[in-house]
Amino acid sequence: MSCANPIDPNVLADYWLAELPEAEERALEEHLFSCEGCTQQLQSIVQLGQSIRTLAKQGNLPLIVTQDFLDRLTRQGFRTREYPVPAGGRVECTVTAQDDFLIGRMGADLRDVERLDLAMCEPSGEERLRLRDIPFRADSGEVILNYPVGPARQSGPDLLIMKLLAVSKETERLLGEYTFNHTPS
Amino acid sequence: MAPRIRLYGLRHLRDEQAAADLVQQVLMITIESIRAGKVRDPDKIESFILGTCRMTVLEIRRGSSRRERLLDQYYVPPVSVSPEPLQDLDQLAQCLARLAERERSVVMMTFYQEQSSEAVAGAMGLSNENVRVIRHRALGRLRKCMTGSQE
Repeated sequence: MSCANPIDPNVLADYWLAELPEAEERALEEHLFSCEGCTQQLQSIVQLGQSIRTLAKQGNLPLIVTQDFLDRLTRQGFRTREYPVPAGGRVECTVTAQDDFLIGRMGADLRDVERLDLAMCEPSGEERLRLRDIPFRADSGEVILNYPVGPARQSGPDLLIMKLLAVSKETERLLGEYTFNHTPS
Repeated sequence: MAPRIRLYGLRHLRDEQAAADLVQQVLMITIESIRAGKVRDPDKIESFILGTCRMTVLEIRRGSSRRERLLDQYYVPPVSVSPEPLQDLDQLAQCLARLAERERSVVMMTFYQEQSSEAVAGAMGLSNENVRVIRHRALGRLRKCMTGSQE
């Protein structure tokens, strides 16, 4: 299904998210109703969104989230297990079969931070994984991590050190270290 | 036309059942109009249907009872328009994992929560325009990754 004037997929995504000016939206709808190819392209965007929602509900993506995200999960009936940890703190943690999401809340002073990385480390300090340039609100005082719940359920005892690092052009500064001592339920 | 009407309904009503109802209702009105000779130019049926979609969504929002009246007059069996099948979730998870953290968070917040750029920007401490740029870039990468084309 070809189209002589195919709509940019980003414009279709903006349309789907109701972020086009009204006149542009109406013109695009006129086109969609006469164009099979662009309709299919829009359908693929809708399909992608639905698939992303399904994945998110499975809780298996390491993801920096917001309080709004958690509130929405709670409203939808999902059970979240949360572990708040201050900088330099340690928490005993687990996850059960009834938990849908596993959340770590790491407190830190994020003012004056340009770029923020989250490193997941072995007790030896060796990095297992680093999430680079994570989103944060400078005034929030915390980073909320959705930790993949599936692998956590299958894990044996595990000591995981998380580090929040303020990164600038040439240096990185430790903002906080957080120890999660996981025990299977 | 049913898939297009359904997409229009999903976009404006944000509800699968309401979109399915819209399909049924718009088709009923279209049949009614054709029978009444109100659609004079068959080449413009798409514009007519789009106009009917717009009018009907407005009426649905106003809680109009026109649907019941039309159901009494012209019975159209419920139109089955299947929701889009999900994509390969394992592959999608791998593609999402390849995104930068900021891109992944924007995509997840946008599509999971169906939040506007403004809301995502507020939650993440970014500008609206920055969120849109990140989202466009992330969606482009996801599409390429899901279709296996080179970045």
